[in-house]
Amino acid sequence: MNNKRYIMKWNLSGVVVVIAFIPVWWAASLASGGRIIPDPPTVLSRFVLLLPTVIWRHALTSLARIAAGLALALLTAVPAGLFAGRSRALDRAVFPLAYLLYPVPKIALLPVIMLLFGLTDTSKVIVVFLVLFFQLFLAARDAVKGIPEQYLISLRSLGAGRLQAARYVIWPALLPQVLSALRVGAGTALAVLFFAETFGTRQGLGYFVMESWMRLAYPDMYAGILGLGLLGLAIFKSIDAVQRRACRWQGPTRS
Amino acid sequence: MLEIRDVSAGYAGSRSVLDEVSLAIRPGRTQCVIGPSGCGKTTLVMIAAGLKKPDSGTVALDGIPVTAGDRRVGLVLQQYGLFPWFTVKDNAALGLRIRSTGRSERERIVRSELARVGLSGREGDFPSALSGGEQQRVAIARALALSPDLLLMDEPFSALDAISRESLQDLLIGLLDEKPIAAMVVTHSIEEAAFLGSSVSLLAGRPARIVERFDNPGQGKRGYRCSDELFSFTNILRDAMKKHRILGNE
Repeated sequence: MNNKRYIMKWNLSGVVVVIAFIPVWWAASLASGGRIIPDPPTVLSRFVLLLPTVIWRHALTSLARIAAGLALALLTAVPAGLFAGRSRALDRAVFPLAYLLYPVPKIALLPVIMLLFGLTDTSKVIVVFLVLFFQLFLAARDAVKGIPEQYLISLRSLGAGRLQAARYVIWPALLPQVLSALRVGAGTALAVLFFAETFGTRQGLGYFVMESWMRLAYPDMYAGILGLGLLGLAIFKSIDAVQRRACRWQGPTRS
Repeated sequence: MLEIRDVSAGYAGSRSVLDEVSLAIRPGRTQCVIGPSGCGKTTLVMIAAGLKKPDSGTVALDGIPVTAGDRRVGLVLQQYGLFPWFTVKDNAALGLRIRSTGRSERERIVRSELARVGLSGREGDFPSALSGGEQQRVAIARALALSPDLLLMDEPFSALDAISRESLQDLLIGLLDEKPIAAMVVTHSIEEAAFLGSSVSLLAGRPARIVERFDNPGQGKRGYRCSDELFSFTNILRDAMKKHRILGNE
């Protein structure tokens, strides 16, 4: 009950801040003469008009690309991080490469990825995957390495084998850190996907925003940006909901 | 009966930790092992629990060697014994769950054990909502839920405040009175060893060995906590520790 009340309070204060942002937006619109930054009613009415016909289709494409890249990253990075966290030899072998590749801006690899995978959805999914992989890998590895040995001793004394250790200790211990890394990575992945969608596609919010810009249709462009923001919000809220449910012992998530 | 015979042990790349340690604990008796920090007390507990293999020597319970995860052995650690992601009930039930005990049987046992340690009504709480003393009560309930023949405790109350420590010491005495099993409590507290131990062994040296053993016939008697017997036995242990240079002479 307290948890629910906290979440309602959090949502309410979030709405208040969003509403408080509108006058700032309006002031910027007035200062710019209203053309480059259209006022809120113009953008919102355009968004409401375009959402059921155009924006939802582009949003769905972007969401599918994000979801595919995210699923691929979760399925590969988490087990890899888990093994690296449990095996010193594997960790020693893998971490120099991981540290070398992690800071490389993945968007810089876009031309190579496009040459390898063509101007298809696959190349966009691969970019999202690459953005998320290293963050999830390092989060999972650090989480597993940080598990106090006493947890495993307790579990062994109760008669647990390796699979039960994975189920009762390793998985719950790494879940919060993986979800936090996913939240951070999802924001970056969305930004990178936006850029990737400006090449070789006619679908996705990135394409829609850039195409509107080329047509000098600023209200459409801002409606697309709003759609992108809402898509990000939906992704973050979904991760929060999963974290609240799967990590109940941590109490309400604040991010 | 637990029999630890001539156990020597060490760790790879370091010198020997234990040197020919022998102990025997009969059911209904509580053996306290006291010694300075880092002398090998935890290693002895791990060996007694079957979680570490000794370099030489044997550990057997009623003549059968103890192995890792032996159902006859319950273990309570100083810290990190409880899993923060499980509720009190799930923590207490974990051993039974791992051993595939049926759900209704599991719930019956856990309810009963939590009641014995005074935690009825806290089943749905997570460990973070419990005090240190309450957390150790859950750890004890989990160990006893498996109906072990031997209870091993590694500095179980050393992280607690004085009031919680006394309360848990009294609880432990009561629980062991109800179910007279063999218990080994490893501690660095002289007062705790004198209060809990029906016998006390002094572990000292590098590598550590049992340098003295004391029977404590007064332990468990009514009013023992405030008795002259406890006071004198504590002083006997203190003198022994001075003799072996574990305590200073000032």
